[in-house]
Amino acid sequence: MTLDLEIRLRRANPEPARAFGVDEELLRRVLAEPRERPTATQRIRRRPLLLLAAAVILVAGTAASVSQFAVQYFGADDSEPTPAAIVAELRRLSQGFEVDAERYVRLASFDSEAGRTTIYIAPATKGARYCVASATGSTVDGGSCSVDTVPEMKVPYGNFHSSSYGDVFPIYGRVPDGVASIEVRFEDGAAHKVSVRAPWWIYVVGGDETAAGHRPVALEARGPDGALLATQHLNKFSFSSRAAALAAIPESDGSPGQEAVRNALVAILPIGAEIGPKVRLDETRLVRTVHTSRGSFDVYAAPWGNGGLCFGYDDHRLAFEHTTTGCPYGEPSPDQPSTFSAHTIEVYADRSGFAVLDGTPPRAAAAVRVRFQDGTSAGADIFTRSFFGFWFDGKRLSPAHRPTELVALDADGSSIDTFSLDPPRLMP
Amino acid sequence: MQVNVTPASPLRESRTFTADERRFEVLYRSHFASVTAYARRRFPARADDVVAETFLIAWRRLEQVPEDALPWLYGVARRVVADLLRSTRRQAAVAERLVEAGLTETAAPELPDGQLRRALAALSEEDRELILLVYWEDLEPARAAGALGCSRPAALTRLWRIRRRLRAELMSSSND
Repeated sequence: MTLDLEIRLRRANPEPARAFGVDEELLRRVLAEPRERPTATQRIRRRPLLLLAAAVILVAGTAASVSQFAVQYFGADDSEPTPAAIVAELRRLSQGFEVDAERYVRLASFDSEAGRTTIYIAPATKGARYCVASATGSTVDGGSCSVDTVPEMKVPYGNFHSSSYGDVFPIYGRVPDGVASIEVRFEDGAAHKVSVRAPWWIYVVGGDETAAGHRPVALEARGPDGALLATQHLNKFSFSSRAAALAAIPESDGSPGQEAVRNALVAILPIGAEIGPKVRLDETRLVRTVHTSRGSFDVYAAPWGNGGLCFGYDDHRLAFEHTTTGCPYGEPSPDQPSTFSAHTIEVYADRSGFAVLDGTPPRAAAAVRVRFQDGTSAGADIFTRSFFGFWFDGKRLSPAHRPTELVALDADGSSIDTFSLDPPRLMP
Repeated sequence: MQVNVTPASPLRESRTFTADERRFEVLYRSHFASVTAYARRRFPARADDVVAETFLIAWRRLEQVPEDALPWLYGVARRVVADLLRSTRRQAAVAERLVEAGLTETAAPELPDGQLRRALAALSEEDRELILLVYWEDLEPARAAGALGCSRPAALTRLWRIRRRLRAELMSSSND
């Protein structure tokens, strides 16, 4: 039996909280050290990225000529050394494997909101994994590493995006065996070849390619004879400019409820842009007002699609921790269990005196109710076929009144499953 | 400005201490246990080194330490752990153990819950650090965001997704 995620995580803690006696000798030693001495890390970061301007730059004709903004793609005869800060970042990012220090290369440079950004890539010493990192000016943006295998990917790709890039979205990967060329296909029917620096490929999406109607929708891999070998679907919303993404979210009328739902959509961009047009903001309703020791907040929800709900908060600028937000679907997920499952149910108890409980309902459930220790019961504040959520405050968290059991009901109102809660855990 | 340390302080010997020294001592005493626990959770074999290096960096950069120092200290400790792990990895035996365990820079060593360990190992390093800061270090999400240098809304959204991903991983592995 799998236990609740929070309990499992806390139980896995190898070093439970306890008092450690202060190491007085260490305190003395530290205070004896001089101040203001730059650490090795600082020295690395202060070093300018070398020779950027002097690099041999290959502009991949096809890709660069069609981009609406300046991208430089680097080819095999680029001999620019990788800056030390990038080397350090790539090593930091690699987890459970080592990147090959001899094979770091840069793939592309482009103008981002924060300056000139350069993308670097490094393969693992063994296997097919790789890591990508970027720097904007002399600041390292971060990066990510590929996973071992993603079976559902027809043309494997990565798409690390740093907030410093703004509306620019690099996609890249390792050229699969037997593939001679890769093209990006766009909403408007255009297709552009990616830049290849063997064994890598990269394409930097930006400019007009991030506007609605022109975004990437697929990668196509072709063999030496031009035959289409594989097509990889791309989610166009992942390549939307922020303006395009925000434009896909319906405008609110300025009321707290509509603003709350709209903010929830913005918080889950780019998914929010995908769902946004289907959200019926004018049907926003107040779900619950939750009272706490720090004041109250309101939970609002608006319907979307077929039975989905988007929910958000108006917390009157009190900045509560709203750990649960989003737009659950109105249909059960394909693998949704037919009973309550402990590992799909979460409780977050806030110190200011409220708790939120959410989870996945049994597949056939038409409603979920919670029973309290005092014998009363209440329906879920948020319920869709894929999600339920309750907020508890004040009286509902006081001894002898706490939630004690979840009950799933079918369309006829008959109980189809129950789930025992642990009341002490619901005390903030 | 010169201030005297508190009578209870073992630093009180025959000298006075600067305001910076006094501030650092308060910081050190307030957070020594938390940083030590963090180090023992992430890298028990070198926990003492992690603690020493973390506080040394805090001392050298005292002017950068924010009022809410603990998330900042965790952020420093995380980088120290990563640096030490990198150098330790070069020692073959340890590296093999790490790889075999599927453990990476911020995962806890030898978790008895193998299913959870694998689920955590499948997360990115930053996501794993975020969830462990919340559940092991008991850091509120907003403060965990500070430790990772990301915004509070970003941390909340990521936490929401991480929990969903972890549950899916655990569900999928329990069905295997």
